[in-house]
Amino acid sequence: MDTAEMNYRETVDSLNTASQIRFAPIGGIIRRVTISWPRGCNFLVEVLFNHKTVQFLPTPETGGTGTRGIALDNYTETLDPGWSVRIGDPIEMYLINHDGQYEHTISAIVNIKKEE
Amino acid sequence: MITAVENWGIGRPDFYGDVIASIPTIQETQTAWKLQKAYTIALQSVETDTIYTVPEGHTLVFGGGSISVKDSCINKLQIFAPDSIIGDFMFDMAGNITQPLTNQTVTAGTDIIVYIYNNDTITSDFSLILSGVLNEVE
Repeated sequence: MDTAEMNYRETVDSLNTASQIRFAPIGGIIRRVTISWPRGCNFLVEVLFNHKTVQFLPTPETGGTGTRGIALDNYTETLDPGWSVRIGDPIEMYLINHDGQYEHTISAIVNIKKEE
Repeated sequence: MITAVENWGIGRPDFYGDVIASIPTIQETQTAWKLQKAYTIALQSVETDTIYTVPEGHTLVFGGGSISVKDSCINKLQIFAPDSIIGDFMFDMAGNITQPLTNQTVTAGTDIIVYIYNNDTITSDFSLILSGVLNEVE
């Protein structure tokens, strides 16, 4: 198997966090991460991805301790983090919902390509 | 990882489908216009009243209104401006005045006259409410 897709879908409550962890079915490079925000998120739901305990998407800031994700609305974004993982590694989608009233459901796909 | 989540605002439910209609507002050159008058009208008679004269430099656009009377009987209200009848309404005890009153325009200097017909066999008390928008015109 040269490529593998890992599907994520998680609902995060208002003013809360949520996460979903999947384990890499193959080792390789994360070549594509597709994240979809439904209409209504209003740029209030941050999404970030961790490999084990290291954030790889979006690229962490240099220095500081801030945790910042990507927050869009009614949009599906595809990114190429080019991040190396090994088979069985945990890959976490982490959500932060800053909406004061509504929960939101985020979907994502992580694509791993086996590369030498 | 995070213990307290900041409130950045209020979003919408996922995939909300409602359309947010614009709400009409009074502009700077406009004034909300309202009139309320009470009448005691003798049996089988008509009350004639010049309720308003549109001031110079303005037009009045009617929104609507209502008329009510405490006794049941089919009565009539006519709203009249010189050279035109703005509305002719039959009602029993209460009636909402909409078509054709709504959006009728009365020009500057024009008297607005109402004729209220009491077709009952007793003297009755009537209450009339009208509303609209007064527009400044050049």
